[in-house]
Amino acid sequence: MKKLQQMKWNSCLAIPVVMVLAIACKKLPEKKDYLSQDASFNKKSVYEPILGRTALELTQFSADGSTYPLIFSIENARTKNGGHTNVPELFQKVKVQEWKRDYTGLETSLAEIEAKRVWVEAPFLEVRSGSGDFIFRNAPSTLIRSYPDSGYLFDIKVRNKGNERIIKDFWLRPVKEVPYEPYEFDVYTRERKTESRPRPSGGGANIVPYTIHPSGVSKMYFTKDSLFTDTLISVYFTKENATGHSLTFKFVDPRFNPIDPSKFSNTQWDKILHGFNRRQTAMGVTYDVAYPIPLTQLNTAYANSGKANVKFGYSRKGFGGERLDASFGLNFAIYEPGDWTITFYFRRDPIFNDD
Amino acid sequence: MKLFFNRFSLIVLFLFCYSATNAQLITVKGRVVAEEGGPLPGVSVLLHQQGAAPKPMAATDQNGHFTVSVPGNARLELRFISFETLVVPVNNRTSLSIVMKPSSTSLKESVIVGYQKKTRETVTGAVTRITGKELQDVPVSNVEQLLQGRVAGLNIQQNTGAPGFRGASSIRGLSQMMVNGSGDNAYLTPQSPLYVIDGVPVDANAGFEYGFQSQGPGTSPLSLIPPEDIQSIDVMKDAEATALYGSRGANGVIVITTRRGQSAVPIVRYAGNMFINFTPQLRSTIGGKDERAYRVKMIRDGNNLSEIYRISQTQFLSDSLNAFFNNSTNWQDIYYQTTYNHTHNVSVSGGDQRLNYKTNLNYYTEEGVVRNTGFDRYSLNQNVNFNPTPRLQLSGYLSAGLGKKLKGSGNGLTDVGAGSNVSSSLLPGPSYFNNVGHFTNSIYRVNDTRTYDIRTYLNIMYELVPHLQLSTNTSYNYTSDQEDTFIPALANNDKPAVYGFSGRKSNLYNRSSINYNNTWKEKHSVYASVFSEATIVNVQNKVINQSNGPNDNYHGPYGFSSYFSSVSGTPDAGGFSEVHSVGFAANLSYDYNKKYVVNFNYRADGNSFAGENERWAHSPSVGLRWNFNKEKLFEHAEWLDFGDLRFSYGVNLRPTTNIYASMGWYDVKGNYNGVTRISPHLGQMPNPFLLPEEVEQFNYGFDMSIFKGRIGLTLDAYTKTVYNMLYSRKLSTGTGFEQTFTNDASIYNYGYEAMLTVRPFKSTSKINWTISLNGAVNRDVVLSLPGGAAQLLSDDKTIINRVGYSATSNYLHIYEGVYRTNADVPVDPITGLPMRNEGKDFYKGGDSKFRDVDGNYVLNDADLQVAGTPIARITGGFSSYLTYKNWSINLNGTILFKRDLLNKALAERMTKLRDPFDDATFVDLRDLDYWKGNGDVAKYPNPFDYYSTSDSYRIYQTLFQEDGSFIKLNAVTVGYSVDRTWLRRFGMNAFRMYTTVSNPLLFTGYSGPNPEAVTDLGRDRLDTYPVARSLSFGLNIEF
Repeated sequence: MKKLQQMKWNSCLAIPVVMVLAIACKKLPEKKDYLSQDASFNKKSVYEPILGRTALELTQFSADGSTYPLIFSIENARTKNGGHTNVPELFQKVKVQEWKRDYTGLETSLAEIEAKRVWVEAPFLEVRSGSGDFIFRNAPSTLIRSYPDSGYLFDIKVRNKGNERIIKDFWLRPVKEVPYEPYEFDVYTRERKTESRPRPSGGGANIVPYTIHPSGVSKMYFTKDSLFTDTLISVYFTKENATGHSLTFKFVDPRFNPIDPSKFSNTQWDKILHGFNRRQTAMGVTYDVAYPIPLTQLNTAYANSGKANVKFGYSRKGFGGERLDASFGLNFAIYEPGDWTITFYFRRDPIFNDD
Repeated sequence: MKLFFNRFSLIVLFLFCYSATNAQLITVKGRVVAEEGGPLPGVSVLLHQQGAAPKPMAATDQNGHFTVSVPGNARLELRFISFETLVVPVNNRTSLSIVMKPSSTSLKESVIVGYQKKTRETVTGAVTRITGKELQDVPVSNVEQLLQGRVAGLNIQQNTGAPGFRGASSIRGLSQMMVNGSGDNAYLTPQSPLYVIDGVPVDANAGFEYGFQSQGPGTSPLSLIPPEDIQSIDVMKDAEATALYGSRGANGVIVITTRRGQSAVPIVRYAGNMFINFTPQLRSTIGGKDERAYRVKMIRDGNNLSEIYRISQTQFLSDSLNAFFNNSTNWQDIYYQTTYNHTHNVSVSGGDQRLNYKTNLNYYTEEGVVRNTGFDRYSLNQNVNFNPTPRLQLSGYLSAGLGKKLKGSGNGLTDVGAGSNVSSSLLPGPSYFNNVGHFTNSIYRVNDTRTYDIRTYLNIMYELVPHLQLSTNTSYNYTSDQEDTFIPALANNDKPAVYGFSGRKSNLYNRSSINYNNTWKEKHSVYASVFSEATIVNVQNKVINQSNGPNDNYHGPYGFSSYFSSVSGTPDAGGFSEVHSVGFAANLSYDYNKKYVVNFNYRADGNSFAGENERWAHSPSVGLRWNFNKEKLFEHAEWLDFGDLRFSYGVNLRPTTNIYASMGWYDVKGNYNGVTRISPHLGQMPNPFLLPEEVEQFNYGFDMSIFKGRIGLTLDAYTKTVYNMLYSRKLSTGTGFEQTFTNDASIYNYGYEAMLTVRPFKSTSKINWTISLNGAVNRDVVLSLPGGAAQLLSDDKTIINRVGYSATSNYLHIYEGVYRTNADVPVDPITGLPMRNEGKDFYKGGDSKFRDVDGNYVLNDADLQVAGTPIARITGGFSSYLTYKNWSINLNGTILFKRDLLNKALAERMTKLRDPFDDATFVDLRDLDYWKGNGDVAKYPNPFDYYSTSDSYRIYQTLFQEDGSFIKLNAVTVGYSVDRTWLRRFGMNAFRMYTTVSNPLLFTGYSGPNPEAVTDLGRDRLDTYPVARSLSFGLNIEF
């Protein structure tokens, strides 16, 4: 009888177990992420990074609702002309500086800026594995094929849980180094650009080789009633020492005699550039700086929209006792380290004295 | 000829049998007493017949006496609620003394399944019964509230405390997963079960099918049923039980049966309640001088000169000596109130089995805890049952209800006063000259909202020949919804406005059936029935919405500017519909000695609004039951009261749940040549190819009761698959339409339900204690989505449906704490820029640290991740009934686990805090763990950095996603019944006093005020109408 009781209990217990099993039989769809067939890059050709600087090509990937995290990787890199199916130079490690802390524009010494950067070894081309952003690191054109070479092709593999897609034929055609901007030469042909300059005699213009001109030229007189136009001032970038860390502003008159910077009395010399250790002589003003200039795309007191902004000015009493705050500026960028000099060449003698 | 003779002789034989039985009638007198002593009035005495349903003969009077005329060899069946049904052989005795035992098991009670009364022993589906007795002591405006936590698998969420409104309910997980609307107003397609009140299907939604945008009063017919008048409620969960209710039963069916007269002596019952609703816990705010100091400090800490300068331009901040700005107004207090309410119910019932009647009169009035809200119910229900001969039964029913509702400025689920848009404490309280628009709107809006509901039916049953019955049930329901609202000028930008709603809905319904039942050799029982059902539903609503009238004393409708007035006429969606539907059903059930039961059902539904090409929906189902306690093996098992195994399989099809999906609608599209143009509505393309939605369910059940009812256990396991689910699908603009509905979605639910009942004391003990516990676990999995999509996002991309995963998940940014310092913010090594939003919104110390899923140092939509699910996985409830002598203590509660809520209320309040120049209420932050300065490890980001663009307090992040699990005590009642013998002196039969506390306790880890008062998508709105705690004193008197 006891055994019978036991049996009954066992059968009672068996019932819920059977119920559980009965339910577990349904075949459910696989748990997997979604990778849209329409997910693609907005731009496949042509990527033209300028060599000699580190750049990020922000997400050109439109996920079309695909489930993140996604993993991107570069596959099958080759030259476009088909000559090489193996292009190790794209992935050869180069020594570049990377940020480890954010540049704020408020750093007070060169050392503080340099402490925020580290030297790393990384390849020229990389895809950010999570987002599909392209990273082009600072590699020289001696290493990487550049225009006019047709460049490289590569594919991108996108993966997430349970899915994989290959997006084919991205065209990469780097452009040779551009050491500073604005640049006098065409980035592709490396020929001197031209510009038209009004004839001094008036009437018509001459086509002349392009020089860089300052921006925001204002209230600068070279005679009692003649104002400077920006084409009357040319700017020249010169580099002396490839490992230097300085930037000098020089001003010269039409006869190439230096103008004493102290004549630009309205200039806030300590605030025009994120440089340190200002050394001012009658020949020019020199700063210790960190390259590139500007350091990041961040808008700071010294830079805006990815260009450093400098502004020089002086004050004088004009005709009739009018106070004239004359000024001119320059928006520029320098991508290579060195002891750079930016020379402002005035084709007329600016008037500094009161009228 | 021979054949004819045979038939003739058969008929003669039948007649002879009849006359034979009729000839030997004897008069039997009897007295029925309860086991614990005392006579039992109102016990039904039925004549037991072989192979047919027992015939009602009489009922006991107030002293428990009855008299019947029956054959000498008859067997009498005695039935009384909560007592065990007893069969007594007469054996030619003329005097009987019968003792009835309180029922300890739920097996013998009958339930109503598929419009038929069945004993539990033969029910193959998953059905749970709640007796009216369990629903008595808590005054509520909507009877659905009382079902909360009572039935495993029935999830009722009281998501609004507004009187007269209805919460959300669903049976066995999700039946729908489409999310409409966006932001706060996002809502899940309603999936309310079908309610059948006294055999007549009723649409309980009443305007709620359009979510928050419900028009008119929005009073559910359920609000018009007095709980005191309810005899029983049967909740049907699986496809087999609901099969016969047709397409509308696909979400489950709840059958409500009202009381009937059952005593020869008229019984007058009075039930009254006085109840107090208490102001709920208000949100703590900062007042007066503190608030000004707070705001000024916040601004000054920003170190921004122009912002500091703005202080002097913002008078309520700078002009602290001005009496007008020098207040400490408690705005919440102005909106909330403690209210005193009452309800009275008188019912008169009586009669015998030949003729009985019941009249129930109910009055209920409740003022909401938010001013200018409330609900009044007046109802009169009558039913009469008349059995002129044992073969003919007539029953008629008439119910008239009036629900009057005050809506304030809210739409039911929400109310302004409930928390949003509350002003700064520095401002003086509202007055005529100091108008505060939202206050005036909430308090001085004049609102007259009435819902008239008339329900009638007539049920005729005739036994044509023995075992064969014909019956027909015709009912007509008419509901009229009226709303007149006047909005004073001050509340509406100096434009007085009127809103009028007039809606009517009628439902003509007929069900005619032929039933056959018979038993052979006392072993083989067959029940078969065929019935047809026809329904005509008419809905017509009209709205008038006028603005810019002359003044507050003139309520229009003439004289309002047509320029400012928006709608007048039949509203776009839901304004008009006429639906015809027919159904044919057949049912066959067979049982062998009540041991093996087989049940087949089949139903076909035709519907005028179904997709033109798929008018008919066919719902077959089968159920099996094995009462294993009747096997020989258990013959001598004294400990086993009963035990059974159930299996059912069924398919319910519902024709498209949205009439506009298949038919589309026409719009007025301006004038052409002075003639009004009518053209098809272009937003949504009608889809005539819509298929009915198919709900397929398997149910495995197990019931057992042991030790004379001391322990009862019910287990159910189920799978529920919805195929061809209606889902909206966006169309390309080239079609001229925005979207259409297709049948492409599918969802699978599986789950387990358990109900355990324990009676710790013997039935003979003085202490009668019943504890019951129920729980349900449900998981849902999306099987497919329209167009083969793997995932779909809701309109505002905050809810995601993914194939293979559970439906409706939140789609949020993952919050990983606060950046302790600026140095904590990650920096893109390539660009040197810190983490940012798209644009230039850089993060800094004190901002939220969101997970950068794609690793690009930019927080955008690519970083959204599937977070929690707002659908509760585990639901359940518990109850305890304890009586000792004249005292009783009852309590019941609700359990809900594994639900993720979005605390939008907190997010919104924090957002308001981040505008120190805005005159909104300032919340008290003292109990919040927020970032105060460099290096702080905190839960919440810096609330004071109000011009930060990092949007750290964005709503859709996991910081505000919290676990919404709770254990709630719904109500506790302590009652005392005065001794009967003593009462007799005053001519009373029963006198009971009790006091109930509703919503006394809620245990939760959720930081908001109430994890239950959230939308069905788990969003805790700031303006949710709070659920109040109430204390009631009640009285039941029976004469």
